[in-house]
Amino acid sequence: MQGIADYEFIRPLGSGNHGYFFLARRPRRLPLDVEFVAVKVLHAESSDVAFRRATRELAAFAAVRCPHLVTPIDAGQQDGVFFYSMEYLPAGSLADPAEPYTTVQGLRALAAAARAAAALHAAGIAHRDIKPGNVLLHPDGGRLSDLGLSHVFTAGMTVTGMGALDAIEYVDPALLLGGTPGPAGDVWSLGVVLHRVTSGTGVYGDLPESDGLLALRRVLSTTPRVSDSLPGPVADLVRQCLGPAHQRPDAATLADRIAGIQP
Amino acid sequence: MSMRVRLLPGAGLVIRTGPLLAVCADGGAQTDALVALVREIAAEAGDAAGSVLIARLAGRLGSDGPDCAVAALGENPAVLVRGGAVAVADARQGTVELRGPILQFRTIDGPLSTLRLSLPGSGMPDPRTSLEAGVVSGAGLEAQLEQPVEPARPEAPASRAMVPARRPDRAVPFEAVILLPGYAPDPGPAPEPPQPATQALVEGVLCRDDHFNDPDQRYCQICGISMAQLTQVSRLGPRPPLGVLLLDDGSTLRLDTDYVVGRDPDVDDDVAAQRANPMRITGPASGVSRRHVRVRLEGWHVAVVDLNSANGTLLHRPGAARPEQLTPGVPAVITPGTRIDLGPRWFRYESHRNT
Ligand SMILES: Nc1ncnc2c1ncn2[C@@H]1O[C@H](COP(=O)(O)OP(=O)(O)O)[C@@H](O)[C@H]1O
Ligand SMILES: [Mg+2]
Ligand SMILES: [Zn+2]
Repeated sequence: MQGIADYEFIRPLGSGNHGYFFLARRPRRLPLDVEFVAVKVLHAESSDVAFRRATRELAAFAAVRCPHLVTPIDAGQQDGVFFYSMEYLPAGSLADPAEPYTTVQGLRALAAAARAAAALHAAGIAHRDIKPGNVLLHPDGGRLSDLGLSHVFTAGMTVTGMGALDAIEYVDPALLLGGTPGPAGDVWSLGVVLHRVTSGTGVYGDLPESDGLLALRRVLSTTPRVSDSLPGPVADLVRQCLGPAHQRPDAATLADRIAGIQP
Repeated sequence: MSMRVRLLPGAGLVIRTGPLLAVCADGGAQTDALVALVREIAAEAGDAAGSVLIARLAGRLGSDGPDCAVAALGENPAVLVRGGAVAVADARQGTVELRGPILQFRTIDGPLSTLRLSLPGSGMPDPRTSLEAGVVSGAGLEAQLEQPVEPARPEAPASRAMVPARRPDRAVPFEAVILLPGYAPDPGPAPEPPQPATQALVEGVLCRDDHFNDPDQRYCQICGISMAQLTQVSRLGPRPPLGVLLLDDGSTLRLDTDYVVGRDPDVDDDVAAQRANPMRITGPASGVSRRHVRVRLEGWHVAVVDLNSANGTLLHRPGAARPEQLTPGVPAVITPGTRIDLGPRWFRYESHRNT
């Protein structure tokens, strides 16, 4: 198995639009009492400028004290490849769970992720990449991981060309059309994840996962639709998250309302 | 160098025309269209490298459609796959395997010794068959160079796009910053959202809900409200993003500043001075100049200027019958849906504005 810097990889954990995740043994260098960590290796080519900006954004993320944020451990680069490590959550994500999860567990994880988003927003940070792959399951509910960093490696980038573009269905279309990321965009994403967790479907029907460009066109040309299968209060909540930006609930309110859902 | 082509039995169509080899699943009219497209690109191939032909195909292929795999032989061979089709090539760099489901294409460090294009469910290559040219039934093909090249050292790296996050050379020293509480460097003030290089001021009007708009628009571009009955007082304000540039690999870039597009846009003075963002074309890019075209924001409009590129720039305006060639140095204002071709590669302007 490969590795990076002083991390020896044990096995891959998954991959997404931005990079590959590996399970690794904790290097002795790290002052931490755990056996394993998760390491993300980014697709994007790193440079000294990008490295400084990326570590700065991660340090700002790390400085937000919230029990529902994944703990970042270490960020680095080697031979033009950027990586960072974080706490390892063996239960996996809403996108790729170690074991199937119930709607109740999904909702608890999502409520935790919304609280984490609220903490980020209070610190002036937008997550930019809330999607099922970034909501990790944990016995106490869940964790929000992995803020979007693609704009750090390519100025102006809102969607990377790497990997499947199915993540696009979680992005506020206003951002796809050039809008500036902010808390309201994160709330939109939380709303779409809520829809996915409660109905099992997206808000644009089945997107052509094999074709990023087509998926993007579809998202830009279709009005999102809330599934009829959702109980009224959940459907209303999703609709509010997908409403006009200034009328959306804030992330903290959303967290409370998700926590109050009786499926 | 001639290739011998054997057929893999099964449902589908196998095509060999000029430098192109293809297999396509049965899909009615879409299959016919693909066959026609492959023929057209082969007929106009001239002495273009395989990578250029494949990129041309990728730019024209509606990526939704029946499974298919296509290879272009010759100098810089390249392969493309879509859906469940698989392409496997043995070449100098070792074995390269490309599979969907996303539309994918890549150049191979040639020459090829063997190549296999297959659809799901294809059988073993039938040694009795041989396809010189034309279209026949089959679920795949195996092509073999009459004189095979030495296969490569297996550890030779495949090209960037395929390798999961390029493996770093672990002999190179690394740098790392611990982010744990008490160790993390002070991040300083909250990272401000990356500001566009040029936050230009433009003249605009406000809708009833205070959205800042192009005075020439009759409806608010944010909320859709009619602007007709409003007494319009125009004022200066920061220009909102005018949309996005969508590159053929699926990446999107926010149009809040100018972009210099090319193989190596960082050589542009304005990129160095942060007056424009770079949009780097990676992957197959023969025919793309280092600085090829500039996307310019002019007030509320978007324009493109060819930067004296070696091979020129084509505009496909939505609804136009044929593309138009840019005159180097002369800006052309574009509307959303316009596709800009730089040799084999393209990008599109998308926006809810300027329609
Ligand atoms: N800290 C972690 N612990 C365990 N698994 C993780 C961790 N971070 C990510 N993963 C796994 O990696 C997968 C890919 O993550 P994703 O966010 O989709 O990719 P990307 O960040 O590149 O867009 C997730 O679905 C999850 O299963
Ligand atoms: Mg992630
Ligand atoms: Zn308005």
